Amino acid sequence: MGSISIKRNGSMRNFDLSYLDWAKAQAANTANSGNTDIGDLIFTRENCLCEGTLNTSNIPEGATNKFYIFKSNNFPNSLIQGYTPKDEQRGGRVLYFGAFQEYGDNINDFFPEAPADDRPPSNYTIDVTNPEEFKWWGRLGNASSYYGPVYKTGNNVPEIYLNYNALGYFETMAGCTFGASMDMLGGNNFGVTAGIQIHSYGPYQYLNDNAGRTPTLTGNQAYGGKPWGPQYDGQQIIPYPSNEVAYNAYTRSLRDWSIFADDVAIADIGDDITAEFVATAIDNVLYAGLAACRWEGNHIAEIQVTLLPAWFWGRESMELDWDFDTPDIDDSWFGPTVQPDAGADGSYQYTQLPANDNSLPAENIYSHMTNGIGGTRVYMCNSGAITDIIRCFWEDNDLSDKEKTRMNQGIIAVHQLPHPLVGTQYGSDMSYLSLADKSVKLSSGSMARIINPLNSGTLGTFSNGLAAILDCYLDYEPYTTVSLFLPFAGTIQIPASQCIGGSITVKYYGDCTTGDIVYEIKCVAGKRVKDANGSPLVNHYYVSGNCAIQIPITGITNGFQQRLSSTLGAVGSGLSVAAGVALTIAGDPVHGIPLAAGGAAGFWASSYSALEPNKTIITGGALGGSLSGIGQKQVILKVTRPKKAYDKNWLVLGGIRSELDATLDKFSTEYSTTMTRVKFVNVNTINATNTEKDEIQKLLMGGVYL
Amino acid sequence: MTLVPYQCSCDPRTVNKSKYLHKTIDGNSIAFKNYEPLDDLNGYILMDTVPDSTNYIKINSIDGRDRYYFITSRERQNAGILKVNLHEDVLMTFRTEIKKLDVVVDRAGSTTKVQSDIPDSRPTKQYSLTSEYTFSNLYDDFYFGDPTGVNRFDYIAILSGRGTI
Repeated sequence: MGSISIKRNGSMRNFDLSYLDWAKAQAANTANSGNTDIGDLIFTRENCLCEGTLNTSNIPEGATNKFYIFKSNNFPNSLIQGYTPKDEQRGGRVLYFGAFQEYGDNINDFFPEAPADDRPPSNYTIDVTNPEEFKWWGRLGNASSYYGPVYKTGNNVPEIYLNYNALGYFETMAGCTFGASMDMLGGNNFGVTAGIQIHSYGPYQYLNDNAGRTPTLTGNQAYGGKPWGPQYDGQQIIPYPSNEVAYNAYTRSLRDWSIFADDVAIADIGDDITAEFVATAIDNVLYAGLAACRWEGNHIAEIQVTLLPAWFWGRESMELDWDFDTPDIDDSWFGPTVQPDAGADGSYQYTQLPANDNSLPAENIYSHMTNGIGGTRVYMCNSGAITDIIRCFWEDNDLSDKEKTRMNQGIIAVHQLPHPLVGTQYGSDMSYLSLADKSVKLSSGSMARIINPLNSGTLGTFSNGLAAILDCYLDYEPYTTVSLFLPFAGTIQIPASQCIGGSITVKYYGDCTTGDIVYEIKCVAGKRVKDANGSPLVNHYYVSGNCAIQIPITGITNGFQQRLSSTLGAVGSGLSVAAGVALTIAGDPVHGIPLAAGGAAGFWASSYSALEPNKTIITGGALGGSLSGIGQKQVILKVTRPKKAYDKNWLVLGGIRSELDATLDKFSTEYSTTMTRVKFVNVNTINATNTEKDEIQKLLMGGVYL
Repeated sequence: MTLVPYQCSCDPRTVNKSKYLHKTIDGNSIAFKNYEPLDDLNGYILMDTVPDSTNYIKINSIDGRDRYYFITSRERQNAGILKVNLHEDVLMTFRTEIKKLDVVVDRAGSTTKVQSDIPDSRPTKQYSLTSEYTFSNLYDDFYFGDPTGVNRFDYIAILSGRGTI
């Protein structure tokens, strides 16, 4: 037996429920005997909401994919509702859950129960293989945006159900207006029951209807679908949406409410349904969960819910006064700062690359080398093979100096790569190596020929640090700047408008023959920066670098590597790579030596200087070349954002921008303001002379102390 | 008509000065040439009724309400008579009505109940905060995580020799 204490603010915590007797609970449930005490789970009175992981390792196989922890037999009053991972993860290690309480209840006795699966076999909970997506926690009062993960289903999925807290929680304060929107892309003719639910978990915490703002529900609602609307269900938590939609409930103060669309058929892919709503929290520290979404039918594509920050909805009042030193604000307030290109018809469209991420050429442009054309071949080897080569120069007395010199000529370049760009091995490891006209036995090392020197991979996608925290022009340049350090290539600046609120994905394309790397940076803009089709703008950037560490065992200057490196630099510049390689092979532009067919010796001799050590050292701020081994190998994203702080004295004496409408008494008693400067006031309600009223107005607008 | 002399110790822009008014002496005599206009009075009063520390006066029940005045000037006359000029403190006189006014506030000395995200050119200290995020170090993971596979090869050699032509 053990106990659990969950704090009010519910930061991520780990809880071990392994002591709970799940088998006992399951047996009791099978016998339909109601709840069974399977262990102590003690909550303190301050418990309100939590999110964490539970050790569910002893939940028996097949027990359930959902469990409840009740305070009584009354289901709606359950305090914890959680879901184990989907079937293949059952018995696993993590569980996400939410806990809440009813105010005033005795919360000292709660019993975990593991009921049988009460949903049809076709149901399953959403995949939680990526728990990071569920760490969705923040204060909307701080004007942040939280984007829910995009849930996608394949074709012919009969039903998907996102559990209560799959979309996360948020907390806010009294007077904080917040909103949420849901975008749902559909497929062909399916019925859907989906929506957003807001549940307030704290004591006496209600949502206000925020009169004057009605939910905005758009999209194709054809095929006899019922309308969207808010739904109110009193004190109950609503695990599933009702089929009834009550518009009039929206005028009430709501504790738990939701908007849902029932049986809405979406005609075709691209017919989005978008639902938005706003609400205002009445009390401080409202804990609310953005919860259930459920749809059923075929071919649904994806659904995403976005929490909108508090003052996003208050922007109208913010636009009243732009007369001080703010940047020029125009339509780009909600749009991109990137400049669109004018179309032929006068409309504007953003220049955008094709959606194909693999936009770099896929063909093997180096086949001339790996296949021996040009007289060379590329090998991957370990240090033992290098030792074998060196040893034949210095220890093999059967070779004459002339033979050793010729062999030395055969070493074009040797370099080390601090990354896995070794290419594709051709055949098995070799026993002998051909060097000039001699063979070198590989006695202590391994070596293999490379048939394809190209390599590529994705280093990752980053979005967490790119959230539109301020959710206004301050999220973009020049106030917010984004830079990306790419190993072996250096630092590049990325326009904030092209990634804030979105994501950055970094891929690399490498060539082991030179160590050259081309990075492809895909920037997906946030929701405010869209292309002509209304989708988030996507931009690609290409940056080149080099990570080869030259090993000076060869007797020639490494002209080959230099020329080939410069040629490959054209990749990043968007030039014709194939043409560049052709020029290099056709002749030596530096020394003017033509390359005849099979004339490899002449070609390489052009850059040969006998018995000179390799002196090619590449340095620079990119930490590439010879610094590759000791430099930073991680991609580093840096986001510089403005952050405001208020001078304490000025706060008292001069005040900060308010734009709030209220009685002065409210400012004095509730807002505890000191200095107050009025912008608009009508003093005619005061029974005073005109001279007195004029002076009152003048004083108020000049600033008074309440 | 009763005069109450005070020493006022707060900013004149303070609406409710009650806790900043310190009575200097109870007055019982006042004489003005006239009471118009109400917001700018001048007249003669006994010097005894307004000690030197007095800079503020409340006159009870003048034109139907208690009114508060700043002493803007005082000049000694003969026989203990003081000539004073008074300017009405409309904020204090009408403080109750003022508190009930519905207003749009331009600036206020609060950080919690104002829309602090509105751009402000006034002395807010705005500075930059740089956050740094890293991708997982896939390079090293690949390199060291595959000792038996293709990544066991540390080096790349480009060679020319018999068999490569």
